[in-house]
Amino acid sequence: MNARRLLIHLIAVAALVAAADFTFGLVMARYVASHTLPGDYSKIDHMIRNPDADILLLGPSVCMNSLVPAEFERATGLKCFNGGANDQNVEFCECMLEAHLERHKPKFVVVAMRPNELRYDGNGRLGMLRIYYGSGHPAIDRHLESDGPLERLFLKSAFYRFNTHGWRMMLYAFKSYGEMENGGFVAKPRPSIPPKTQRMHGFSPGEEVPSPRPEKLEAFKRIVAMCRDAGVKLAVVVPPVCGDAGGKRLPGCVMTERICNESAVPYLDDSLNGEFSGNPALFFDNNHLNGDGAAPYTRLVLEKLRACKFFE
Amino acid sequence: MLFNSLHFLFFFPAVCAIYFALRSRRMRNLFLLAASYFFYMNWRAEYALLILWGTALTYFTALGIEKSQSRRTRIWLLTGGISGVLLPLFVFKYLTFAASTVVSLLGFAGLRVPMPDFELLLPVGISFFSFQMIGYLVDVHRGNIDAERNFATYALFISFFPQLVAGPIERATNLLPQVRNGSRFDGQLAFDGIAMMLWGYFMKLCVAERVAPYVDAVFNNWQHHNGTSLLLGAVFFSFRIYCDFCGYSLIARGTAAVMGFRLMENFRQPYLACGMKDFWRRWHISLSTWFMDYVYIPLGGNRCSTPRHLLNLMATFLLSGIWHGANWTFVVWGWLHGMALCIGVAIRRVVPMKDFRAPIPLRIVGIAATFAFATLAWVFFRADSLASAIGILGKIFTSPGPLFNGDGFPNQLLGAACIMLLMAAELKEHVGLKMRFLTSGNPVVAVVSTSALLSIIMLTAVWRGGEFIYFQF
Repeated sequence: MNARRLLIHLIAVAALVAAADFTFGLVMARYVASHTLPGDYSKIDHMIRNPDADILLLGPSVCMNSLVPAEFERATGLKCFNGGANDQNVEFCECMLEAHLERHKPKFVVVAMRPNELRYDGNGRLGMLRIYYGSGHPAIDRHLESDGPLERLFLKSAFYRFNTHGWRMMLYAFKSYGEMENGGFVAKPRPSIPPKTQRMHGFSPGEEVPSPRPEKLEAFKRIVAMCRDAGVKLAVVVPPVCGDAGGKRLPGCVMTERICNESAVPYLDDSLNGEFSGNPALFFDNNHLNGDGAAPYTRLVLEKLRACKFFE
Repeated sequence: MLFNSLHFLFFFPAVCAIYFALRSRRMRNLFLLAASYFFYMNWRAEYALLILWGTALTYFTALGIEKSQSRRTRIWLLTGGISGVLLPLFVFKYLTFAASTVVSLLGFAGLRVPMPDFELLLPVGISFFSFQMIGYLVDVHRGNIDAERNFATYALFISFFPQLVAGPIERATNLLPQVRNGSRFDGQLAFDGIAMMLWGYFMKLCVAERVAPYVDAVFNNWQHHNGTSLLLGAVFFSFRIYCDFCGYSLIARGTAAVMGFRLMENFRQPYLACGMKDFWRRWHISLSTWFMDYVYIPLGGNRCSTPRHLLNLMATFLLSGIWHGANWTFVVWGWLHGMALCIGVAIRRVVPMKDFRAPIPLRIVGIAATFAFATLAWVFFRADSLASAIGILGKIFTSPGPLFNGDGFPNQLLGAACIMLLMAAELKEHVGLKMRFLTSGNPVVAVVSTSALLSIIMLTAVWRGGEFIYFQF
């Protein structure tokens, strides 16, 4: 084989892959637009295409596993949906809120955060939203493109956008975990060995308050702005962790509280609430409540929100 | 710079374009040398001095060996050269291990000595280029090859970027003449090279990186997992390490081939080996033949009494274990493989099987048993301590239970599907089927199969994976 034939071979491969990519993109875009997506994608799909909640709960897995929509509905009489998803960050909340607001305006939004939510590096599993890239959701496009010019280039490829997702959707069609069954709430099981209470660094007076990552702060500020502009009430909660900081608060929570206070957003920090944190039987692991812990925690949140007249 | 990084996507075509645009062989080699150092220095610039030190030391030592008439002087020069190469390897790789062993032994004797903290970051690929340098010195000493006169040529042989950080550990007899004579563009070789690279990327990105999260999840937290999950983790690790390393080797060979260089084969369907002897003919061939040529045979090989033969085997595999890492887990891994081979030797001494050709069912059992043994031995390789490895193996045999879901069953299934595709391709090679796809002589078959593989990679690859495992060695 000479150089010319090699070049023709490479061009032919590139052309065939480009054609396959384009065709695949067309087919998948049509599928996503016309089908209810299964598994992990079902909640995202619901929030983007059929939002109907009056109370929207957003956040990472601590949201999905800690806040029970049924409790919210019982207490307020409003329709509640838990849009929390595994390994998602504040950017995900922004994307979902924006998509939700495009079709339906909730009355209340509660964002659940981990203690260090605004200090995490990376954007977790935001890549799940790639299947919606270029379909008219500015926040999704902006966050996906923020990874750099090469990512922007790769996002043009349907193969890349649906990398793994096509396969996951196909398999979830056969076996799903019932993410939508309890209004988006998924209870974690009680583990055979309860987690050990972890020793955590507590915030001491005089200690410098840590700084949030700029992109996280920006995403949070956009959430605040969207809620303000749409007349939606917003609150931030930090569910308990199985830890002990010697009676002190966690530095990340002190930081987030300041940011919330600046934006006049109610902030409920239960990260080290003794009622939960000192009781490993209520946890699945150190960071997630199990089903036994989620219900009482949700009632506590509701009590606190009522106390600060959030629902009025 | 990693082969699976986006930087490499730009670096490699640019290097190829400039390399072939240069007319003179000398300029090409100098450019490739500069590109190779740039490739290495992307990781940590100052450690390039280690390569430079070893290169200069072995270059002048080899010239000295060749020039010297006295056998005694030649041996002294060889010993000095090898010691000079091994010194940085010992300092960076084994000093902490040696110190902790000494501290532990003193502790047993009742002496409490604080553990010194050296805080040395292991230079990427140090074991690989050190062994390549040692091989060159020994070859010159044996008269297998003439000492290279041109320093730049020799420096390029040592630092040639495709194989610098994780091999194949090239022999001077193979690569040095190619570097010296310069390479020319060979369309067929480049065509084969691109196919090798593509398959290497499939192995690394679609198999190794796909199963890696499950392996890490169960091995890093093995106390909380049952035997079934740990067994799946161990099987996945077998494929992870194979696909990670073989993937790297294929990309390295493919990269070199595109530039007109032929590197040695490093893997040949090792998980279809029937018996451990066969396994070591197929796994990390460049290292196993290195140990055979420069350790096992000089020790006497198999041309000696049976006890001595077994001792030689065991010594070679213990060294191979310790080469992989400064931890007792690697020593035990080497010992296990050594023991398996020793048992094989002992059996063959009692029951000669020279002309015995096993029937197919027996061969299948042999392949399965070999894979099972290799997988269980990999547990020591992956575990962070001997206690963990023993704990994991104990659970595998005693604590069955429901399978851990990891990062979602679709990921596990996708990993398994890619493994099946890989094994189907390996089986095709193993049984010698003439069907060719990526490298088919029929242009339509070649284009369609290459496009299909590229599409599969784009659809299933884990793009943000980690480094290659063997970088740490």
